[in-house]
Amino acid sequence: MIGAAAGTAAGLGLSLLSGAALLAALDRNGRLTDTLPLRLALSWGLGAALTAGSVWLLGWAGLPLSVASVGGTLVAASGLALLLARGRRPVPEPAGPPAVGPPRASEGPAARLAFGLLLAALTALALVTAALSVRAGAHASDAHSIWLLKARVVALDGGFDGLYWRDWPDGHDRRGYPPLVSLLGAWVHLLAGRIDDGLVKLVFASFHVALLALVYDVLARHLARWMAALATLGLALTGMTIVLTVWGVADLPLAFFLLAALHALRLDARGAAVAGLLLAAAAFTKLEGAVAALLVAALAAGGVAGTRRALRLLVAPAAVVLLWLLFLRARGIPLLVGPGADVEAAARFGARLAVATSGLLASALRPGWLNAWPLFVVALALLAAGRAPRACGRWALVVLALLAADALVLGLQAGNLPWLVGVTGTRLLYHVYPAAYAVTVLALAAPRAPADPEVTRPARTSRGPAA
Amino acid sequence: MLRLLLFGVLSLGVARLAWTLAREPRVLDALSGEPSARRFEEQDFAPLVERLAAIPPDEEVFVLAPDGSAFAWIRYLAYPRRIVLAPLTGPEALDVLPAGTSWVVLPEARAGDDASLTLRARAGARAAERVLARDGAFALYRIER
Repeated sequence: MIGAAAGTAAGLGLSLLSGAALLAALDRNGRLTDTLPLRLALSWGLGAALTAGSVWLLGWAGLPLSVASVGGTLVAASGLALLLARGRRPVPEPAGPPAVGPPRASEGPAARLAFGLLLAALTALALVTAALSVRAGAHASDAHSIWLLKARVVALDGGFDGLYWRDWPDGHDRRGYPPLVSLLGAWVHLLAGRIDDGLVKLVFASFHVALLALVYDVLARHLARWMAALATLGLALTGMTIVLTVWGVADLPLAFFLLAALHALRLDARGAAVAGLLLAAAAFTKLEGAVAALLVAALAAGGVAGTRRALRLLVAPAAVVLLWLLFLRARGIPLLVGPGADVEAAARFGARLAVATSGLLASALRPGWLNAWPLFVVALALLAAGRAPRACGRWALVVLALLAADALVLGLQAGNLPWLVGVTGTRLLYHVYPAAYAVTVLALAAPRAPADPEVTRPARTSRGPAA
Repeated sequence: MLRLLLFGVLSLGVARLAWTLAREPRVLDALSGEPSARRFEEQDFAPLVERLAAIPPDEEVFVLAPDGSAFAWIRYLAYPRRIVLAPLTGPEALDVLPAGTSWVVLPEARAGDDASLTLRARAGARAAERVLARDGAFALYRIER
């Protein structure tokens, strides 16, 4: 057990390091590596995408899947990235250092103590959530029906030519769902040297920690450290944050990739490559991620990045989606097959969209532990009245657009739509919940910034660590 | 040093509290805001999975599960053994099995579920072999048609 755990930790560490190498190569002006939480979060995101991509392409090519082959691919990719990073041209630092919240030196002893205590609570909560997740194994329905089933299949079959991909009669065929988290799970099984339903959950625990680090970084660029940590604790205590990590489903990783892409794009409008890769990872995590990538690129075209940048944003997600469709087509696997009796089949798309939208609205307003959706409505009102930082406005638009994307994907589903919305509504909303939560916190608590509509960077005199 | 100590004590305290609260499944169900899924933590499926792995590949294995959740769990554990959800789940399910040798897994019958109880009784009566049975969990029958 200890050997398997150590091997898994080492392998996931290699994934993280490969992501760090890729980040070093892509982040040419250092905007995305200016704080430890952001560096860790983005390194994990990129490393997870690189690992899943390696497992997929190796397996698809019929090459053996093993610790050596996947690990070797990651090492080779990291080496290549570091070579590229070393050979890069120095990029002049833009005017004004990227600020991280109010100056740390101005913090009083009470603020420092509060920050320390909140950090302790966050650490404890992350550890407990990880332990619960490992303990729960694959018992959650969607874990053993979809995400961890695919992980088990790929690890046991050593690729994509086994029974599951050939013949899997099911009223709700989920083989077409994008497999990023499953492929990471397969990597853990390979590392453990056996099928281990507990250790595989470390994948989800890692995304949980990365999401919290990311949310903290988003908030700490506008708020005092203790306030950012307090708000992050609020997200960590949100029911769905804990439950999705414990269950082991793809919704939380998707939420992480979407927020990471938005944050990366916002911090560095010229660095669309990182955001594009994160959107590609989102598209490879859930179908909603592909629609979200399109929407984010479309919104970027109208504002921060311009049409050319928007197209650059779309290259990686489009490539991933096309390759995945090609993979499915080669195996005769449908992309979407809804569950249950097709009671809504006769309805027009408009009617189905209405069912999906009203269902999602009902889910958002359903009382839940620290459910902040009603406060998001308040934040929208503040934004509309011009009483919140302008930087939040674009994100609020993105959140609304992504919510529409979720409704759209739901509306496209065949099958018993009211039932589907009822059992998955709160989970689907979580895809944009961290982004909506950040907008809400900033609209309510951040000082209003006068000029920069894209990146609110409070003036500061020194560049200090965020945590 | 004092800060570090405080940090550690608080971490342990929060962790202990969170663990106590969250290990209770009902707390997690309440947190999710979604209908609870059926849980299988307490059941030991290892003997069933072991037996399923030994069944010849040309003989079909059906799971007759009223809500499909036990089926998904058994299929997950038994992979790469092919397992099929029976086309019907009521007592008439045994009548539509394909000709030849089939294997039928019956998960536990819930209290008050007459159809499942009838199905268990019929399967037991028609079984060429009752391979594995555990009251309250599942049964495995070999059926010849």
